[in-house]
Amino acid sequence: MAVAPSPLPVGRPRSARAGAQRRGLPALATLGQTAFWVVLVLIILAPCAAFLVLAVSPRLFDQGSSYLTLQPLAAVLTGQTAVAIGNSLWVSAAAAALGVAVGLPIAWLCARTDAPLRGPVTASMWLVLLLPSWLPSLGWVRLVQLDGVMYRLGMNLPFITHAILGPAGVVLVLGLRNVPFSFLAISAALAGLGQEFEDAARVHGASRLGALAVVGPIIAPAIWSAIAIGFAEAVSDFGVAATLAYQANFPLGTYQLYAAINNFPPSFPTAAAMSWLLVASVGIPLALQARALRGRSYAVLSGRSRQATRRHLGPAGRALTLAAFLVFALVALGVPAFGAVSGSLLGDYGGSFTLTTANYSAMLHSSSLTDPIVRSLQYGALTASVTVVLGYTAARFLTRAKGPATRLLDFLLLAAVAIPSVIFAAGYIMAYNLPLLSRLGINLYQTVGLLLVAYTASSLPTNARLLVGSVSQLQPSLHDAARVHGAGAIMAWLRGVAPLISRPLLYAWLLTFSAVFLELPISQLLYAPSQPPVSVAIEDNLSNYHFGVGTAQSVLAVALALGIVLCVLGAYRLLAPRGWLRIGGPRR
Amino acid sequence: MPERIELEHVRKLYPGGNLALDDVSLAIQPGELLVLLGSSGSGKTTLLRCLCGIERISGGRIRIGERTMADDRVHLPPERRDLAMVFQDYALWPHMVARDNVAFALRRRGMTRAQRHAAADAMLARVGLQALRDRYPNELSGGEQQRVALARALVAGTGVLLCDEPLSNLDADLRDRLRIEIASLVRAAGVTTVYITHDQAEAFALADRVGVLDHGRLVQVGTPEEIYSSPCSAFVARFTGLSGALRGRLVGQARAAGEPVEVALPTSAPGHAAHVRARAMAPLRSGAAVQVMLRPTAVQMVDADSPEAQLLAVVRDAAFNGRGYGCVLALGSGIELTGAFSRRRPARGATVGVRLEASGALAFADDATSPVPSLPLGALPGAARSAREREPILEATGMQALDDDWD
Repeated sequence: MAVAPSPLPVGRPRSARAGAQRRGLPALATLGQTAFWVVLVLIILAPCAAFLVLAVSPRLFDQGSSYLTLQPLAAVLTGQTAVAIGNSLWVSAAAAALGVAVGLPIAWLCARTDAPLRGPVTASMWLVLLLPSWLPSLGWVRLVQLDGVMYRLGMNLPFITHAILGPAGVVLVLGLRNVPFSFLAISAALAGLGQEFEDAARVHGASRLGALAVVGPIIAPAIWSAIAIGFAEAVSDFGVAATLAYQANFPLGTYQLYAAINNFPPSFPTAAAMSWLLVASVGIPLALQARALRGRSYAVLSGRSRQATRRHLGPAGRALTLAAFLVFALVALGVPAFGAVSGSLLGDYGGSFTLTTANYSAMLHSSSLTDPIVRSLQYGALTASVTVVLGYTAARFLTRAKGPATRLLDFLLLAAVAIPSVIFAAGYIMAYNLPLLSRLGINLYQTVGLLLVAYTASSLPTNARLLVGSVSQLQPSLHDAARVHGAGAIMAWLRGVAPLISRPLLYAWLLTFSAVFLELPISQLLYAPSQPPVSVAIEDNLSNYHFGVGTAQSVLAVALALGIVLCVLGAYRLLAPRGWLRIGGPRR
Repeated sequence: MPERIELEHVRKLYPGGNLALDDVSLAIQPGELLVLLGSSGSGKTTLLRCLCGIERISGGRIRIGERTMADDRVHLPPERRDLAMVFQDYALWPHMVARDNVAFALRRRGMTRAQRHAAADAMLARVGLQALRDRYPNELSGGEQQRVALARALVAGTGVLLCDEPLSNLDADLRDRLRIEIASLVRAAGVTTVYITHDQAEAFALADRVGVLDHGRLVQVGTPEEIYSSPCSAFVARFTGLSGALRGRLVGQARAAGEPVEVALPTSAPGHAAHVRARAMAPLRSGAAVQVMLRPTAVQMVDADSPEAQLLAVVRDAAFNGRGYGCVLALGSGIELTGAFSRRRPARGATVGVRLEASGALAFADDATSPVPSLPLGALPGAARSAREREPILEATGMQALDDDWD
C-alpha cells in the first residue's frame, strides 16, 4: 500500500477564519429547548390545563359557585357517564389490539416478502387514514340499519345488524382505523431493522417463526407505540361515538362529554371532569410501554446494517396473502366508499336509485363549494410543515434526554392524544377568551391563526409518537462524524441525518396533512367567520339536507387528499437521491 | 501540518455527578501517535470527545497548535477545530457511497465538487478501495468500511487525527493487518494522532507513547517500553499484561525504584517460605507486604527436578500459538500463572518447574487487606520428592498426578 504524504491542495481551513464561540453565551441548544417548552405550554398545556382546572374550580371561569370542589368528578363516576367511560376503556383496548393484530402481519408481509399488491396496500393505509372516522361509521350504519341498503337489496340479515350496531361494530370500525398507525409505525421499524438479526436467529437454529419471535422484541418500541397510539386514538375518537355507537345505543365517553356541553344548559365542569378520566386512562398503555421497554436499547440503524431481503411466497402463500389484503380493503374501505359514493350520485330526495352527476356539476360551478377545499388544503400543508418540525424536536428530546422533563413530555404528548378534539377546542375557546389575554392585547379567538395553532397542537402528539421509533434508531455518531469533519450543526443534520429519516418525516407530514384536511371538531368550534374549512362546509350541507352536494364534497376532498399523497410519494421516489431511497426500503 | 496538542488540568463532570475526567494534563508533540489505554469507563472516549468538541469540558484547557479549543470561557464547536476522526462504529452515512463519504470531509476546504471527487478517489486508491468507490456502506465488508472511515479521516490533511477504538469491531486477523495499515498511513501523513483502545497489545504495537487512564485520571504516560518495564502502579502493570501475581514480604529493603529485591512467599507449612527475586518499583521498607507482578516473559518453564526451578506447578492448560505453547500453570491455593511459554507441548496435569526472571518480576507495595494466600508445601522444589509430598498441590489444583517428564 502506498504511504506517500497527501498531495492534496489543502487550503486554509475555514476554522481559522472563524472566531471562537464564547462559553458565556447561553448555548443554542438550551435556547431551543426553552423555546420548545414555551411553545408546548402555550399551545397544549395551558389550554388543556385551563379546561381541566375548570373541573375542580368552576368559579375561576364563571362556570359555577365553588373555587374548589370535587363534585363534578364525583358526579361523572356514577350513572350513565361511568358506564360510558367503562365502555370507552374496554372498547379502546380491544380496538388497539385489533389494530396491531391486523397491522403487524400486513406490515411484515409488505416489508419482508414479495406479496402481491404491496403498493396498493400501502396506498389503502393512507386512504383509511384520510377518512374521518364518521365517514366509515356512517357507511356501516347506512348499510346495515333496518331500512338501509342491505335490506333494500333484499338481504334480510338482522343478526348482522345487531352485530354491527353494537359493541362489536364499534370495536371493528375503531380497530380498522388503528391499522394504519400500526402499519406505519411497524413498517418504519422493520425498514430500519437489518437482515442480520433474522439471519442470526436462523443460523442458530430458529425456524422462520422462531426468527420472527426473536426479531419481534427488537421492534417492540414500534409495537408499543402502535398500541399506545391506538388506545389513545380510540379513547379520544368522536366520529364513531356520535354515529355508530350512538345509533347502537352504546354510550362512549366522548359522546357523553359532548352531550354535557351540547345539552341545555351546558355543563362545562362535567365535560372537564370526564376529560380528567380520559386523560388518566392514557396512563395505562404508557405505564405498560415504559415497563416493557425500561433499561433497554433499541438502536439498530447504522451504516453497518444489512438491508433486509424479501422472502419469496409460494402460490398458496400468495393466494392467501392476496385474499387477506382484499378482505382488509373491502372491510376497511369498501363499505365507507360505497356509502359516500352512492350518496354523492343520488338526489337528495325520493326513494329511487337513479344515479346522477348533478351534485358534482353544482359543486364545480360554485366557488362557495370549492373555496373550503382550497382553504383546507392550505391549512393542512401549513400545519403539517410546522408540526413535523415540532414533532421531530419532541422525538429527539424523548429519545436522547433522560430525566423528569423527558418523562413529563412523554406523558404530556401521549395524554394530549387522548384529549378529544372537541374538548381540545373547548379548552382553546376558554383559554383564548380569558379577559387576561384581551388585556394583554392577544385576541386570537375566531382567527385563522388560532385555528392553525389548534390544528398543530392536536397533531403534534401523534406526529411525535410516530417519529420516536425512527429517531431512536439513529446512531448519534452519524451527526458527530459530520461535525468533526467540518460541517456546522445545521449542515451536519441536513447531510448526515435528514436523509436517513427523510422517509419517516415525509410520512409524518402526509399523516398530519391528511388529518387536518378533513378535521371536524376543532374546525367546527374554532374556524374564522366566513372562512369555513371543507369539513365544516360538508357538515353544513349535510345538516341542511343537501346530502348529494355534501357527499360529493366529501368524495372530491378525499380524492384530492389521496391524489396529493400519491403525488408527494411519487415525487419523493423520483426526485430523492438514490442513497436516500435505500434507507427505509428493503432490497427490491 | 501536524499540530501540537495540549491538555491542561482538563475535567469533565457529567450531569448527575459522574466525574469522567479528573485533572488530565498531557502534551502531544506534532506528528506523534499517542495511544490512550484504559478499561471500559476509564474516560478515554470522553477525553477523545472533549478533544474533538462533541463534549464540553467542565474545567481546564485544551489547545491545538496555537489555538485554544476549550477552556473556562471558550468552546470551539467540532467543525471549527480542523481535525478528523475515525469512529468506533465508523459512522459512515448509509445514504452515501464510499466516495461521497470520503469527499464529505473536503467540503471545509472550499474545493469544487470535481476536486473533491478526485481527491477522494486518490485517497480511496491509497487504502485499496478505488474499485469500490461507488458502493454503499452496507455493500462493503467490515474491513472495507473501516478503510473508508480511515480515508475520510485522512483525506482533508488535517493536523490532528482522532481514532476511537477503530479496530474493536473486526476479527483478529483483520485487526492486525489494519493496525499496520493505520500505523503506516498516519505516519506517512505525519498527522498528530490520538488513538484510544482497551487492548494493550494494540496500544504497544501502534504507539510512540502510551497514556494509561484509570477512573478518569491519566496515571502514566511513556513509551511502550517504559510502561512495560516500569509501570508506575500495580494497576498499570496489571492492565499492560501480566502472567500472574504473588504476594509476600520483602526481605531487606529497597531504597529506590529499580533496585533488585528478594521476596519471601508464605507457604502452608510454618517456617517454610519460597524466595523469589524481583525489581522494586518504588522504595520499600524491610519486611513490607508486597505483591510481585509477573510479566509473561518472566515466567519460564523448566523440568521439575531442575536446579533452576524456584517453584513447582501443575500444567492446567497448554494452547498452541504457532511458535510454541502458552501455558496456564497452577501453583495451588488458587494462584495461577498464565502465558508461560514452552517450545514443547506439556502434558496437561504434569508437574513442572517454574523459574522467575527478576527483570520481569515487579514488586509493588501491597495495600490489599485480604488474607495472603499460602503456597502449598508441594509447590516448593526439593532434591527428592515423593508423590505423597506432591499431593497438596495436586489436591489444590484438582488434577491427577502424571509423570514429571512432560516432554
